Amino acid sequence: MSLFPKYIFWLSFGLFSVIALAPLGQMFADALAAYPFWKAILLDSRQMMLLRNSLVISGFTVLGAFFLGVPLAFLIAKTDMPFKRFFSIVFLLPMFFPSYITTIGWTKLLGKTSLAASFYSTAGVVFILSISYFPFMMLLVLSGLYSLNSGLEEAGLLLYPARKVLKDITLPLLFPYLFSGAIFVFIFSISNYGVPDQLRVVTYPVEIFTQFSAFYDAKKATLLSLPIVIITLFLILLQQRFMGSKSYVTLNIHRRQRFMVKLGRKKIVILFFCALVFIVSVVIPLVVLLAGAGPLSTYAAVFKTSHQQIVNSFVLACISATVILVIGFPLAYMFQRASRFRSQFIDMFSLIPFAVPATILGIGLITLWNKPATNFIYKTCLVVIFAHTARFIAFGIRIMSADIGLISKNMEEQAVLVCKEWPRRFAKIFLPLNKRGFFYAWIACFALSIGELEATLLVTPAGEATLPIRIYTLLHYGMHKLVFGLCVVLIALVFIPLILAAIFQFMSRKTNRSGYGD
Amino acid sequence: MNKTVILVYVIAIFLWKIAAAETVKNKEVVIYTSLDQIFSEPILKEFEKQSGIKVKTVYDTEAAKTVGIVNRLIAEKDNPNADVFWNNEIIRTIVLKEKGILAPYNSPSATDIPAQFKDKDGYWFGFAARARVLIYNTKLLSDSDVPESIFDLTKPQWKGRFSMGNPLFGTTATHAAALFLCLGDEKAKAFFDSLKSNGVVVVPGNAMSRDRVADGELPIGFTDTDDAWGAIIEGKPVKMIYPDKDGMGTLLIPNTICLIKNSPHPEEAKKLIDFILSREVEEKLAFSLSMQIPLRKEVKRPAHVPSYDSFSVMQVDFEKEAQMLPVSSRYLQETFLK
Repeated sequence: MSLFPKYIFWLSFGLFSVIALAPLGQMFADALAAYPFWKAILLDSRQMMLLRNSLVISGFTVLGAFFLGVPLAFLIAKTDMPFKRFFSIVFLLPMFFPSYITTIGWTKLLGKTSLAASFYSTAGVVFILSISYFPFMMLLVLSGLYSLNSGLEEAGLLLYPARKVLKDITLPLLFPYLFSGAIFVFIFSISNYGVPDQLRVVTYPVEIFTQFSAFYDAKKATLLSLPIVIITLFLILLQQRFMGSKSYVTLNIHRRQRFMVKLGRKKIVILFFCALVFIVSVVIPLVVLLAGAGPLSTYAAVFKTSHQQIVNSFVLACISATVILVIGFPLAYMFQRASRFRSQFIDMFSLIPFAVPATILGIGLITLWNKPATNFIYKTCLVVIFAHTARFIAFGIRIMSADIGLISKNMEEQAVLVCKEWPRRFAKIFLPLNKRGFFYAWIACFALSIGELEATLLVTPAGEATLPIRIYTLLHYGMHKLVFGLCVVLIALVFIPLILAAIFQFMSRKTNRSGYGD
Repeated sequence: MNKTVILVYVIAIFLWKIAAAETVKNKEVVIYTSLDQIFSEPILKEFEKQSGIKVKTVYDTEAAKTVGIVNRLIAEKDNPNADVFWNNEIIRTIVLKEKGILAPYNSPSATDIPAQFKDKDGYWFGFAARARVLIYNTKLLSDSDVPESIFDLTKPQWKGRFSMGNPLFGTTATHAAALFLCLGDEKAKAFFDSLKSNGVVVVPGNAMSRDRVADGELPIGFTDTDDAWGAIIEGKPVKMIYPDKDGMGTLLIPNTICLIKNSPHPEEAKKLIDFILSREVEEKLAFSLSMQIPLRKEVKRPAHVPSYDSFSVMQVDFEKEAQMLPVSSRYLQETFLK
């Protein structure tokens, strides 16, 4: 028995295909038709060199995220470290800062010092991407730690000290989550354009962008993105192989652990390490931006000159996050409940729009929807919502599916027996049980949508610019107070739902959640 | 009941947002512009006020470096969204003409624009120009030390001491294409190879090149007059020179304006073009912080903004220069952006 009738799934998948896959499909079809000798283009020595650059940067970013995220996850989940709840929240913040804003902050700090030469380099790109993406690694490992069968650990503790249990039992069991975290970070890094561009490092996405900008060759640019798409699909397949039916995300992040390592005197050193990561990844960029913005009069100028862009960004992000939930929920349900093949299919295809450079998605949206019959889409903010949905639906699906996985199938079957009409069943039974997953998915998609730039700037209707576009419009003049003020406002807009999430979590812990699990 | 009210409210906001930019309306015009928003926006607001026609604008961004606008115009060719394109340079306007994106319109405001700054068939018109200059830091260089020619920057004493914007984008790319046209491929390539081996510091754009010089990190750099004036007005210790006055001259890069073919609001677009090409607007741009150089002698300008015929101007056929752009860009991509 299923929660929804089949046509709902087909409707969702149809909408997802039209919004996200059709523009890309058209772009790739046009590109392959325009360049029948595409292999020669892709295997050109310059392209190979750039792809190698991108692979190296992504590889080192994975290492950087690993050495930050994995220890932090263990410290939060498995030790008696103080201020755990505080750190478990603040370490997620870099995930919600657009990476170009983090780059702006660090560039302002280091750009004119003796470290500038080192910063404007591959090392600088790896640094920024590592501090931006380590939360993904941390989240995945935390998911693993909270999902583990603690019985194995307890059995080990009967014979061995805690540290040996962690090393010989916990860590090997975590391998699928470590691998998945590495793949997520790798996918994010290899398709990132903004950070290498700002730090003047030529990478594969920068080259793709150059094909648009210097040579006006959208088809060749699309062709050049094929290797990234292929690599992403391959990595997703590998990830599915290792993860199996495990969830990438767990929403029980404060579930009590059965055994904890006591840190003793090492607490001070550990606290210092955690504080350092927090300062480098969150505090420094934020303080630099605040200092650069200067007095409150800057914010008055920001609201006076950019209030329309602020409202546009906020409203569009709210709508996009909601649309992602509506379209993504049936897909998330299928991801969790359907056969392994269907689940893998959804996993793979939902991530493709994210793997493809956003500029290509933007041109694809123009190509597909800029027709007189579809002016109601292209010449309105619907096309921006389409861009956000295509880019970020994969995140909504994964977060919602994690919560769906916590509901037992027995309960679902009982719901089907009790309530025959599926809308009522969904609204009265399933929705209240899944409200946490919905809420977190909405917040994540809101934060990602509000900071999105590359696809948005190509499709935003005239007069409907968003806050990131406004920031980049003014960035042309160099960094000045208004740019920093706008960056602070953008981060503040992201904080609003995060604060709501913290309140929601606090309220949820007070609510009796009986009925979960088999 | 409360949930129903909330749901209705949410749907209303959704529909309002969709409808906000929907359908062709009368009394509005859509312009895409790559002239910096702080300079173009006041002009467009003035047009709104005078004409009563609502202006909807898409501005250029640092991320796009005009790629967003030009590629968007190319992608929208079959169903244009824009009525007018106001470019802050000329080459990419000609690229659009060659791709059949533009429509001719002989604006009455353009009759007194010199022939070399407008298309003979009326596809584009130039106005309010900038010049490619060298900006130098007066605390690091005395006036007598400043090189007279851009070719002097290949000399050993300038090794690693000068900056240039990304040669694939903006007016740096325009300048490069002009040099390829004027010097010929071999000499131009030799020049840029020499710049590379002499340690030119490549930065994302002219504003960054200006900032590196103004902040004292480098003594000299390439930039445009509007960027240089920005630093001078702020009181930075910089001056600029118009290079090669005894040689091939300084490149002058006009703003250009053009009508988009099959635009949704052609009549409003023509009124906007007439307005932007007026002497009043050219004067406003001359007196703005960008200090654009008027192309009509009758247009008033600040005393420190030279008349375009008061310095040696590089003689360039803009149409041929546009044809050189892909050639120069490919070479410079290989040379500077490996």
